[in-house]
Amino acid sequence: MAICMAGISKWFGKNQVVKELSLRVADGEFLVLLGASGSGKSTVLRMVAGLTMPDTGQILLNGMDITRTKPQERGFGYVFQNYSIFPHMTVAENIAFGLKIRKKNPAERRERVENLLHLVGMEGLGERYAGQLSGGQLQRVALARSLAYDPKVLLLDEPFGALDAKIRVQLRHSVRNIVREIGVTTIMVTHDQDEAFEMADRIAVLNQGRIEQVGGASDIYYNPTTCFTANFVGDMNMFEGTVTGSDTENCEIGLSGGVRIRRRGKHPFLPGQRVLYGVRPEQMRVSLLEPASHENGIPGVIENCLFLGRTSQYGIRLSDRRLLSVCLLNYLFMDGMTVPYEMNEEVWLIWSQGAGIILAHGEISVGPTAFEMEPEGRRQGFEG
Amino acid sequence: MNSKETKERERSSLLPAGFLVLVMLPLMLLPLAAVFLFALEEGPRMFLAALVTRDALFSLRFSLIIAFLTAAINLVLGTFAAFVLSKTRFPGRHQLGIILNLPVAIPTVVVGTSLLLLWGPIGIIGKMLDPLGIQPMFTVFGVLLAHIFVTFPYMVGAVKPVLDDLPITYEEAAITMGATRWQTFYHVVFPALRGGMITGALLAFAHSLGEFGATVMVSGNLRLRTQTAPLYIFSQFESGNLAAANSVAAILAVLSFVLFSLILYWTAQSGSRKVRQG
Repeated sequence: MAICMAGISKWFGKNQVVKELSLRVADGEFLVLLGASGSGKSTVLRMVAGLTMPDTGQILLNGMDITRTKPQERGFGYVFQNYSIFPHMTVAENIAFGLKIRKKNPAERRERVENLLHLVGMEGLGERYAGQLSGGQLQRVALARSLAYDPKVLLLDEPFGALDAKIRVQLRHSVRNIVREIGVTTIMVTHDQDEAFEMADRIAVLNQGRIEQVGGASDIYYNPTTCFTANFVGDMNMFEGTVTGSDTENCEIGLSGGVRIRRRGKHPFLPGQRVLYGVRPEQMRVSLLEPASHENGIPGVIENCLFLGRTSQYGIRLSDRRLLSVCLLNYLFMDGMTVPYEMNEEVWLIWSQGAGIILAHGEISVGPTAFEMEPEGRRQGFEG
Repeated sequence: MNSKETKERERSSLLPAGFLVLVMLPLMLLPLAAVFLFALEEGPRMFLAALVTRDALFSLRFSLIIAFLTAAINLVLGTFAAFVLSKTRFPGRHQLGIILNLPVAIPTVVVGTSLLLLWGPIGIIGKMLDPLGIQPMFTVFGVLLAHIFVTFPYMVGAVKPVLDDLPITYEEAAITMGATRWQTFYHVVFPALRGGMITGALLAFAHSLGEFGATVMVSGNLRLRTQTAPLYIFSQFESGNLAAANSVAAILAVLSFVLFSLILYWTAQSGSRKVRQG
């Protein structure tokens, strides 16, 4: 069923945690609310569930106003971050709880529990107690329990937050498949970008109680419309600059360091306009040769390197003293060297003119690059 | 290897354990033993004879009934108080929590005196009730009131930590699954509280059984009317009737021992359950 949030707000004391938020989730859609802690994402989910009452605005279920409807009467499924599996009940009793409340007969309950245990891959574990299960199993029980009474909407509050990395990845796949198979409208809250990208049909990026952007994963990643989204979802190297030349298909920008770059594609910017230009670290490459005419390039000196195994992250000092971050796959292996470039080597940073984003220069200042945000202790020098 | 290590550890633990027993001997173990020794000094027949007097039997029965009523009333009152203190938010909640625990800190004799000053014939409320022919003090009601007052914090103390530790999301999970507030309490909160409630009720029962200070003030120590077992022991001891005092004392000691074993058992049970549930 479709859920519509229309201008909902929530104050906790003098602090407004959700600010006139409007969002529509289509029937059968998997929407992820992505935001840092304190962004208000869990409060939004709790308001949809009816566990927290919005101070203003409406929540509609298939067009019906459910803002004041009790959580008991909404018929939604909710998976809590700590799973909240009742410790004095067996797995089967936990899953059957919603059915028992709905006064379904025992035979029907048993059959449904069996089906759900099969669905979440926990056949034969129905008689266990929460204390006898692993974190991943608890999570599966929580999911099965919330699906038992065919919820109109499924709400997942950081459902993988308490699991270790490997199990988290496995469970993401299985939860995504289960939810897709059932076709239930789902809203999931997470701070984990990978999780959001992997599971969502659409992602809503939340910042300080407001939606920054809603869209598909690639849209959010490659076409962020705000500086916050650009920096929060993945890393972004940001430059300040002024549009120096523009036609319908190209935008030329003079960066503050004096370098001119070009961005192909339609754009709304006019010459003389102050803009922010951003490019992802992995869209750049490092070269000893100058860029070709169809490429953008900026000269710099390699200052440090972080060897990450599959990739290396380079810190490159530009002529305007800024340190830029570039992420490269370690496809080149040279004997005796961890990375193929040397400290203080003069290089070109080169990227496609089809890459990068341009944002109107508002009040927002350019944040530090991802590389500069790395803790000092993790930086490595060159070896060999 | 393992059993050898265990034996070694056991042997090295003998010294501190022995020392503990040595220190505790004059403090706890010997006085308790003395009660039984004195009680059985003249043989089991005399012990029984001292026990089956009308006064002794009344005092024991009266104490057990009062303890049972105290535990039952505090089970409801204490659980309710713990629920209010733990699950609701209102100004002065912490202060109320301290006030409700005061009976533990105040000497029981003072509790008895304050009850007299309120409900007694010259007390603030008692003065108004007296002309109506209602006299709550020096009656069963007075004893019960004192015992509820004195043991109330033990019940709250046993239940409140369990409620505090119970994440709100358990209740919220039940609510989102369609359970009403009452169903949530019955199916989710109550089973979690059961261990704490049993422990609290047993504690209240045990404390009520041994209560002396407040009881002696409010009961008037009227034989065959308001005389509890501890008051009977005291009275008999004072009048030099050691055999009677000791026989009831021995029974009280055994009852207390059984009760505390039960409490420890329940606490250990709910503790290990908690560990298992991780």
